[in-house]
Amino acid sequence: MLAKPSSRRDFLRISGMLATGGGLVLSLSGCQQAADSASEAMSNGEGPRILTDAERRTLEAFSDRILPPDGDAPGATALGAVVFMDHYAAERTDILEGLRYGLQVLDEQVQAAHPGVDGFAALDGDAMDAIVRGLEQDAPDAFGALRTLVVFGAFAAPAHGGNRDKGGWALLGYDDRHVWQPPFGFYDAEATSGGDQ
Amino acid sequence: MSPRVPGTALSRRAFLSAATPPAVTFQTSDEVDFVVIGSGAAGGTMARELSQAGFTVVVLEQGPYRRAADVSHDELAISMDVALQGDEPQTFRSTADDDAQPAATPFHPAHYARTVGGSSTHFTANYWRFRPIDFKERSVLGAIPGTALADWPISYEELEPYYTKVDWEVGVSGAPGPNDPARSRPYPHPPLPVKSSGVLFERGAKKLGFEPHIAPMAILSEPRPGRGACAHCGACMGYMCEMNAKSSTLATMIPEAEATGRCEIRAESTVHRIELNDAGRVREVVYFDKDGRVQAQAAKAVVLCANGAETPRILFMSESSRFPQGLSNGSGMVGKHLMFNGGSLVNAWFEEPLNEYKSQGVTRICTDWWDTDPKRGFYGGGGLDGRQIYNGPLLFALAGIPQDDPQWGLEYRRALAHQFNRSMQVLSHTTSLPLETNTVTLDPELKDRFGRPVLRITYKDHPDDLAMMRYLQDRGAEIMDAAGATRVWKEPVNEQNVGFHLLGTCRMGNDPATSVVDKYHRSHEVPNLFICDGSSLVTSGRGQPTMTIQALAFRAAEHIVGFAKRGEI
Repeated sequence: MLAKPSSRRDFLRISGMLATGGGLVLSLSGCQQAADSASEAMSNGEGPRILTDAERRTLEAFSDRILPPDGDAPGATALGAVVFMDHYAAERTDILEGLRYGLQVLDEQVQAAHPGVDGFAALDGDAMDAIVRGLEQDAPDAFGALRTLVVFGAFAAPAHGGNRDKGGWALLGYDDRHVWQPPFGFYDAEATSGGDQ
Repeated sequence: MSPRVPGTALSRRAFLSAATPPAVTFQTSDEVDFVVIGSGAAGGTMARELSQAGFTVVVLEQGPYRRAADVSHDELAISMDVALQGDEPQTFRSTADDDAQPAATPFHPAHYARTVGGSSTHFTANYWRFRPIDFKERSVLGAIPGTALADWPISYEELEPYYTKVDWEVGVSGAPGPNDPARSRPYPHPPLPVKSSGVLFERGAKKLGFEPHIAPMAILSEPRPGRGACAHCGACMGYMCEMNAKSSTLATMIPEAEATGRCEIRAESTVHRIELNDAGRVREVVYFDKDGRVQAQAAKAVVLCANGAETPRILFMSESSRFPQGLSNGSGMVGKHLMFNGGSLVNAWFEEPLNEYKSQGVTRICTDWWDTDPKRGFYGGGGLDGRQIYNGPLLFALAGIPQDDPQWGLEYRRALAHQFNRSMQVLSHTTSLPLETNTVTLDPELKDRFGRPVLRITYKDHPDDLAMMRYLQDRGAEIMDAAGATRVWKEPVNEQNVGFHLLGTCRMGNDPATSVVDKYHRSHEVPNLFICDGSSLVTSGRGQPTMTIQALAFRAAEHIVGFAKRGEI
């Protein structure tokens, strides 16, 4: 979906489109193959696949600015977001292009603000946040592409390489049990136990 | 994630088709009674009705034959990756004056599922009936300048027995609403259990004096033979259902068609042309098989049920010296009057957990705004439902936090953690006016992998359609405020560039000059060609068209069987 890097605005438009009919697409091919490949590689103890060491360093630092650790709870990098990106981009040239486009713009902003510095990851936290803020405002396409991949890496099914130990789902309070009985939430429990229904 | 069969998609399919061979196989040179093109809400129903009536049927479906073991709950695969709406591009433009461009969005402009069972396998399963007014709005309201608003050639009363047939044959769960049209039998299954989104929607709507009611859903609240009740897994909108609780044609009509021994579902068969004989009658359907080879299936008659985008595309591709504008298009009406329905979205946060990721989508709706009200100052009507569209982790993390709030950093993280289970939305479902300028045509340049011209969608919402979306969005926001939401915000309402409902492009009518098929879905120009799907609709209803498409298919099938038995095809 990142053949053209998507901005926040584009994504919202897409999200709005989801609303209009409730139709989403069945896909068992592209992503499924990526997931098969990622889980196979991980179970074989295989490491990174397509990203360079420098790209991974930058993405790890960037991922933890997007979704930082909170106390003892892991941030996106510890959740495996960059492992996810490495496997996902290795299977999908459109994703790799979007990712590298984002990294290139990010790098340009780093060099413009801090000439000669050894990449985004070499900055301190405040300096990194200033760069991310600038990217979000001035280059929403690049920001959107990278942020979307961080989100995928933190919250997609663990078979894709991220969301380690379902830690991203634990953050949200999402339980992938897939069989439930009512009551489902507070308000229906309240209503069906003699509340306002 | 659901269990996966190891291997690639292709090997899974091979494994499955080896395990469950088709009930019957026809040679392409065998002249079958009917070829049905498409296997969705209309095509699947047509196949079952025609084969049960004793006729031989080949269904040509371009998508693969997925079964329960192929169902995935993987949000990245289902909600984000769009590979299996097909790799084939489509182009989009707002008006004929614009250049059509390949869509820059993940969703195709004419969005539908390519799989046996069609979009009935992945839809949300709202099964609203249209109401008497929907069939005669032109007479009641008068002409609307600049539009092609027209009466249907049939009435609600004529269609009612077939709505009831849908209820009972496929399984619909629900209870009558306060303003429902007359129905000849009650719902076959009780309502699905209410969710917190339904409770809050109902609470807010009642406080404002509206009449919310139970949503009719094509999802089983109790088992039927061979099918389980809804397990409330939550992977529903956009996902296939391995419980067979969602009443798709894959779960209902298609197994019954195959069980007759007279119906072959020929998956991965992509139709290119419908060919005529010298007498101007359909003789065969030319298609590409799964290996890309050209095949031609001979048939006594053809029923085209490919959806409101692919049906006109096939007719255009079937142009000939007899039909230079496209098959059955002497009127020039094929591909015109495309209608998407409208939708607008209100987000709301609440104090306590709703846990909307559980169970199916919609449990309460309100349809108080169905009729056009002159006081509003524009044409249109619609309804609202309460649900959470961003009910998966990825959708919520990408789109669930208000745009004005931080979209990254610690505050973003904490908002996600607190709000994922405390959020819902109100979604509107509204009218689209039929416009000659909203069309499906063939792209003049872009070709698919078979060399067929791809779909070109030209679409611009009528100002009244946008006004109706905004009007109901405001009502939705009021309802959420009244329900006690801690925060309410509206998503922008813009002109649509993606349609999930593909309606109106081969409209039915009594006048061959202004319609493509007659009231029995027979082509005005080709006696053994029938067309029945979303393209048949004359008006758009108030969203949720699938129930009506399926009722039309039952009704059309009954007449086609009668014609065939009397030798009138």
